[in-house]
Amino acid sequence: MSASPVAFGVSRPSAGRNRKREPARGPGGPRPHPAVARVALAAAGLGLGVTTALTFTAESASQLAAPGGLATFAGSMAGMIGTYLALIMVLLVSRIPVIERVAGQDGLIRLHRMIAPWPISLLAAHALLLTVGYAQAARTGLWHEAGTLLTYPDVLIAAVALAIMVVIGVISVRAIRMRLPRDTWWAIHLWMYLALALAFPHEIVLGPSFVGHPLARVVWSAVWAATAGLVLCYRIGLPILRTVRHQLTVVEVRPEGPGVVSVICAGRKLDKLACSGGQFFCWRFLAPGMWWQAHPFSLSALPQPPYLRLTVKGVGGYTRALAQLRPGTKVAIEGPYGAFTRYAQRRPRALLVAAGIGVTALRSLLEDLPRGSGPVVLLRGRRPEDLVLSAEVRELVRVRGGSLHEVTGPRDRAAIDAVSLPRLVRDLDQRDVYVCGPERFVADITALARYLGVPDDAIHHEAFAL
Amino acid sequence: MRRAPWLVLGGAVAGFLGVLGLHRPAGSSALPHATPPPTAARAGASTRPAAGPTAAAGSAAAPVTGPVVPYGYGELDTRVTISGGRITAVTVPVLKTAEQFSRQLATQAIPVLRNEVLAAQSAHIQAVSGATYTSAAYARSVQAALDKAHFR
Amino acid sequence: MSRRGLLSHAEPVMGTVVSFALCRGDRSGPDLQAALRAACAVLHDADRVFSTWDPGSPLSRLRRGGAGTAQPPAMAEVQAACEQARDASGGWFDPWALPGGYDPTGLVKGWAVDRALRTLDQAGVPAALVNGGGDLAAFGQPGPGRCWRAGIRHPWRATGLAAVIEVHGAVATSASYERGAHLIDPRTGQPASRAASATVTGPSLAQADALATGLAVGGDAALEVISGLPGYQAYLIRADGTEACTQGMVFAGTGAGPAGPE
Repeated sequence: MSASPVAFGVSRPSAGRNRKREPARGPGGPRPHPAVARVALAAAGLGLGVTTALTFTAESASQLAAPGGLATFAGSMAGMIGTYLALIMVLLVSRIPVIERVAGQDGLIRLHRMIAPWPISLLAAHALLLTVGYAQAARTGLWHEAGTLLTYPDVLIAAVALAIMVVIGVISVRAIRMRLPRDTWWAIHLWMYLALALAFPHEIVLGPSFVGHPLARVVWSAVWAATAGLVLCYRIGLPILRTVRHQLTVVEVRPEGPGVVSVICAGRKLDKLACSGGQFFCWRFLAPGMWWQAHPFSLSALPQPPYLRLTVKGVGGYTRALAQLRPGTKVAIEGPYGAFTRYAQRRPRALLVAAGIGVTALRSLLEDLPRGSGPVVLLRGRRPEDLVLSAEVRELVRVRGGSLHEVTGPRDRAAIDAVSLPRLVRDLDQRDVYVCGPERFVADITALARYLGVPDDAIHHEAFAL
Repeated sequence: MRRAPWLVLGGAVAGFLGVLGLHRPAGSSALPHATPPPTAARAGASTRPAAGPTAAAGSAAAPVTGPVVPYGYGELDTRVTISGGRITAVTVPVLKTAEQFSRQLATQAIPVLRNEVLAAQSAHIQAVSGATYTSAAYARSVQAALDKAHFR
Repeated sequence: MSRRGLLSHAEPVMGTVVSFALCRGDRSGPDLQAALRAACAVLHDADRVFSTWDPGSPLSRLRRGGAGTAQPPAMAEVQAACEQARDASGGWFDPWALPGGYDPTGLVKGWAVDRALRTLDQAGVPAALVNGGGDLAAFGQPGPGRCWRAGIRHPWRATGLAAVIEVHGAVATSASYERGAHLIDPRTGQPASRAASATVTGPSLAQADALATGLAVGGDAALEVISGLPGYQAYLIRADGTEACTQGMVFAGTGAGPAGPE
């Protein structure tokens, strides 16, 4: 039995930016507030300052002069700052919508990865320095002192937590991460939550900043509780809520081009799903062999209640399996995520560049641009049939008074470069550049745009790791 | 964004200074104060020798501080305030331990040894007998405070 | 200018600081200074003879096996005192059973302070207390109708006192909280300490010093032995904070005393 194709066509754009959307189409994504990012950064800095000061004020000059004093102080400082950074890392990926909208999921993950070596190194140094310091104070050997410290149950548990963190740190080293199957790496990585929870008791009970300082204890506990609450709420609670509320199921799998299929899902109350063009969801298809993985895919069109569409290229086992999805398969979603939206636009007009399957995000972003906005769209592909959804893109561009250029051919003959781009786009200084596609392509176009004088805050990219 | 590092730095400095500003030095909080010495010792304190009040030319209150003295399991604050040649305040030591073990030991020792730690002043002593201290540790001990202040 | 007529002095010697408290009485300043100098000279002499840090001291030479070299009479006196203390402590103080050979350090300080005190007495000082880094002895009265009083340091609180006593003769305390595990059990040759703090009082500081060392090592067993010695009293604080003392131990001005011997 094959379901009749869903009438998923091209929707009509609104006349101007501020016009209310047609009710059949869902409310559109909420506007991000850049001030949120500034406030968040200042708050993070504030917390760092407070944490450092708490450690300083718990120390005295004579304590430093005592045997082992310097090592103990350095160890305490390393522990406090390391833990604080670990909490920040957790917050970065806890998918708090208000922050995610401004920075974008990929930006947050990039920051998360950048910070990552610091907490683990600091916490390992913390353990070592404190052992050295206590050994000096008690006038015993290092191993003996380590043994003594481990007799405290809180310390023992914290040592286990540190071991988990070190393992996670090691497997995240690029060379090793490449060798592990992604799901194995991910499963081990999730143990970080457990490690942080295990480490908490020893901080409160033994930390010199907290022993005898009830206010500091309360504040630290509150920060931990808030972080845990945010994680529970936004990483677990909200996605479950969305899934249950919308009850998405696959209704059709439609081929779009060589190796590319669109998966159309239907659900309830999609008119309440607030997402902007260019955003993506993490999709978990509850089919055998696929239910334990969640992958990010952009919407390839704005929601047309009761339908959602994603378009996927089959490059690996998982994406190829998507082409075999059976209608009726339930879908769990997380999102919407992404700052690759019309709200990022700074300049009057836009240039949209996509390669291959990158057209999906571009196509839904295009839908969000108002009539008369005159976007220029460049689609890059090897062969003309690789430019999937091009008919829809053409129609969308026409209605908006823009122009579409399809650049096909091998790289040495047809490329978007410093010569061809200015020829195709004469008013580059008036346009934001949105680029979407494979990582290499995005990097190249971004560099090209910078070279041609487009400032960084007018370049927006969404890179697909394929 | 370009301004990001400055925002973080600014917040950090603000937080740091804020905590420093609000911080009360140790000794006024932390462990509960010892209960006052029993009345017998108080009675001893009230019968001051006649020589006492003639200490008119005594110096103003001056804390003779010992910095935190390491005693093997952790460190103890020693703070003896001398006023008019007499010890007028012995701060209940704030135990800053390097190990929880010593903190447990110290807190359990208080109720066991007569429910409070006797203060050197109310005991009217001229010397302290204890394990031999090194010359360095002497400088920070109660004996040193007695030597310095009581006998000039 | 002292209010109570006491002159104090602190002399670094023997690896610690020896505190003097002299009653002026009617002695003149220069007299007292001379007495002090003489007393300090006695301490430095003892340091020169018995220092285990100085390889040229007579004691160090003896420990290296130079038994034949001529020894100052102080060495013989200390040796005799050590034998007496070993017997009195039932073997808990035994300077011959220590690793490295004969080491009378546990008694020498008390012995030296005893001699210094005697020097002050012979110089005509009316009353004095000498505290050799924690082991002290005194004679005379610091004021009309008063006694010298000493606090016994609380093992876990550096400005606290565990007890207060009147000083009649000598008070010596031995513990590990200042210098770490330096007390050796003569029976095993290993560091051992069965007490958090061990105090012995009696007529001779040399003996009290040695007995306190033995009490710190032996704990309750040593307390039992010392309780049989006439003229000496002992006070023990165990590692768990409980206390014990000999029957004749008297505490001053604190209200309730500790529990009697177990």
